[in-house]
Amino acid sequence: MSESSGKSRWGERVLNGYVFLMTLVLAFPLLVVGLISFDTAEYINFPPSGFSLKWYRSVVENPTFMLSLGNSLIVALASTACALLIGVPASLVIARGRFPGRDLLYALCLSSLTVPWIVYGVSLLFLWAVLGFNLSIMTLIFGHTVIGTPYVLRTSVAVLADMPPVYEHAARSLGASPLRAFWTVTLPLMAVGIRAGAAFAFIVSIVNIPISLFVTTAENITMPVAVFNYMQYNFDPSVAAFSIIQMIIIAFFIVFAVRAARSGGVS
Amino acid sequence: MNTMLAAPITTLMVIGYVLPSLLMLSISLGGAIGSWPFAATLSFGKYIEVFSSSYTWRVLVFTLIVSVAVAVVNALLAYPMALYLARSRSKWTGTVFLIAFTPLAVGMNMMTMGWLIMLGKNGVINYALQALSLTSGPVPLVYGLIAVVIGLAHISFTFMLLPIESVLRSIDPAIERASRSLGAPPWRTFLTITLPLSFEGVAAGMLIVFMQSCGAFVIPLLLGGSSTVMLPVAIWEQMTVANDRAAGAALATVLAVIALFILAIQLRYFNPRRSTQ
Repeated sequence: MSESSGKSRWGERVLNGYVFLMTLVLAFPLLVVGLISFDTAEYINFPPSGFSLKWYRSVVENPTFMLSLGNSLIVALASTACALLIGVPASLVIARGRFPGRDLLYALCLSSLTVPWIVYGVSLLFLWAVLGFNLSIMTLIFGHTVIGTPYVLRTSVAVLADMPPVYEHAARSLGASPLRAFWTVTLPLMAVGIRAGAAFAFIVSIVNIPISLFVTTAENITMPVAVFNYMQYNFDPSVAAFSIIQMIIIAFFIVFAVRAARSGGVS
Repeated sequence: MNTMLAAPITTLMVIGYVLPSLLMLSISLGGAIGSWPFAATLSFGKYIEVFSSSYTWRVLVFTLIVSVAVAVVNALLAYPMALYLARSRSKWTGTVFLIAFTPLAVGMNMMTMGWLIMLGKNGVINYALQALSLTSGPVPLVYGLIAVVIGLAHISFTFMLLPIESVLRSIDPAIERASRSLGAPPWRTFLTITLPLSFEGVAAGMLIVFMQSCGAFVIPLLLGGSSTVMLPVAIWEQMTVANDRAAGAALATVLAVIALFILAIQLRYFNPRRSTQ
């Protein structure tokens, strides 16, 4: 018995060591991006030759980068808002309602999550060409709403599926209108699913390259597409600086979304 | 419940998903941009043209082989970590989870940049190899198969980790305790009880990772080279470099069919609703 538990402790140590190493492997490529973004050298080189903020300054002074940063924030926030406005009400009828085609609609939405983004990029380009729409920030927001909404739907339906409808029934039987019952009872209880869905919708928009690539123009270019275009021909630490800026924006939004949803859900 | 609440999402999915997919199919079958939904006479000419080129076959076979390889590599790499996350009571599990989630949130540019710095000629690994005097000059690691497989494995790692972790967590610990109390050593309990019970998670993860790799665009383009063109890169080449929209539509349809095939397997064998009923 003691031999067996000794072996098990040995196995546990090997496992812990492996996980430590693997965590380093996962984190290291991202850490070196942070390191290189402060480099003084003109090209990418390890180890860095000094410390400076000049690549961050070059990002701020690059008009394309700053335009794309603004566009990305507009597109991500607008498409996340649209995804919430469309996805959350739909989750109520899909989780609670009974209507013909319900399962088909839900299957259609979930199947769209499997289709690679580049297929959307190509097919949305055809859509705008056929409809005769000019590519604009609106067509971009539409495309990102299409990929973001199924995430909101899925997380909201998952929360509703675990939540017994008795709470809403209680509110209704105490005289609350359907809207009031939704607003004061269902919505706060759904907060965890909604904020997860909002975070997903925001992330898939702000990091998206394959869809945006086909439907952006010089004016409505987004942040990842600008960096992607730049990276195809240049390889200097400004891309590292820009990636770090993008990461901070994403982290900020996620923390903000979590905080807002939590305070809204508790009060 | 007012069914009208489903109207916006139905409209969105029909205009943004169903209609564009049909247009893509139509254009790949010889339809012009102006004549939709379908051309008067369907023509498989573009598919015949695309598939009579050996380049297309090379790209397709390469895409499938690399994606299988990434799925296998990731299953082996992620399993021990999933086991740790499902079982360990260490205070570090939260940190490990957080780092395992970073590939989903930082974007492809940062992942690409990170691995270019790691694997590049003046990168971290070449620096380490030369500092340890293991090689005299820089070793070519980037712009080839190795870099593409590493990059794809990293971007899809989370999708392998989570299904395995959730299956391992759902295994009743009493089964393993029973095996142990009957005298089986830990390794034998693992091989005969835990591992077989977790195969469903491994298979589910491998399907998702396979699909993620088949659909990856930025990693094979920027970390690879002309010898590592994968299907999404070929689609992009047709649409932008060759400016052949019908060929791009045909290849994109092929990729969509692969995706729907994988989805059908998922629904048939890993339907989450089925297991809860």
